[in-house]
Amino acid sequence: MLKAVKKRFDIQITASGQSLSKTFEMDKSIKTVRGVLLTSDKDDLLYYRGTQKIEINSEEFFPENYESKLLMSGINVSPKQRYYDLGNVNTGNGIIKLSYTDNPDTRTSFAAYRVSLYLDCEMEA
Amino acid sequence: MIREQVFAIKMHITKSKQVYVFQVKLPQNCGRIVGVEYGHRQLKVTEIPTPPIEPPLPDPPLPPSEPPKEPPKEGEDRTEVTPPPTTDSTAPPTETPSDELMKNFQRNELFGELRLQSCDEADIFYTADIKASENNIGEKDFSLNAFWKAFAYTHQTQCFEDEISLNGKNPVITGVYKDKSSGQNPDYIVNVYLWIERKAAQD
Repeated sequence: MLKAVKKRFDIQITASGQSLSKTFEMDKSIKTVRGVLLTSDKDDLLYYRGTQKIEINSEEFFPENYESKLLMSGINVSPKQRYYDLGNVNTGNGIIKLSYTDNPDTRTSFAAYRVSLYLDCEMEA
Repeated sequence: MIREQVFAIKMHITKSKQVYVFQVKLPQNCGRIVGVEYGHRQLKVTEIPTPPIEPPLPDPPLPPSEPPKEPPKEGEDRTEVTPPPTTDSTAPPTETPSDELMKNFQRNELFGELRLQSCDEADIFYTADIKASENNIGEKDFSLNAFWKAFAYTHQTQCFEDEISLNGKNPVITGVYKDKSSGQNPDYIVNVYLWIERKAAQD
């Protein structure tokens, strides 16, 4: 029987224009990823400045230069629908790679911020 | 087995009225084009030319005051002709409920226009106006106050691609972006994402 769980992985952006690539490993019991969501402690910086590449099991799902705002959801979206639906992606080796780039934008001034990648997963109960 | 793939096209616009033409070569196993998304990043605040402020016009001269009318004498027949009522163009117009609703709306500044074209019978299959910002996202939201305001990053709905369905037989998609911003020296980046359905090799 599969059980729905949410996983969160964080990276910290400390400099303007910084590029950061980080690999996360999920539990072996997690079988599929159903959706992704990006949030931050400073939403405006993530919305205006962020681009990222996301790979699951060495397969690219969002290419480099894909804007973070397209994977964010505001409070106008009900909590149950906030994840970007990927279908049921087999996690394979369970490795998630997030390559994030901070891009300067005049609508915001830089301050260190956190980027959180949420995954809507299914695990074996 | 069918998988989706996205192509990202990045355009750096640096000149006013710039036209940027690009081509995307689709892979051979492209089944169909399923969607388009776009976004932008502002690298410099655009300088919007402001019209010169004209000095206020002098007040128009007042009409000469009429002399006081004398009461009619006995035997004198005086009939007064009242002029027909005229519509006064200087009077403030009465406000309708729809005017009240529109009062706080702000125009969204236009950056430019995007067109995507396929060289088959579909021809131009996608057109979009790319706006600098969404200025009315919190309009008529009763929860807003001096401390809680609406921004695109707090109130945006979930982003989905604009769905289209176009066969991927034609291997090249041509795109044209025309800058239509009002600034003198624009400096921004437009990203276009083209989603396709890819037929994976049979297992």
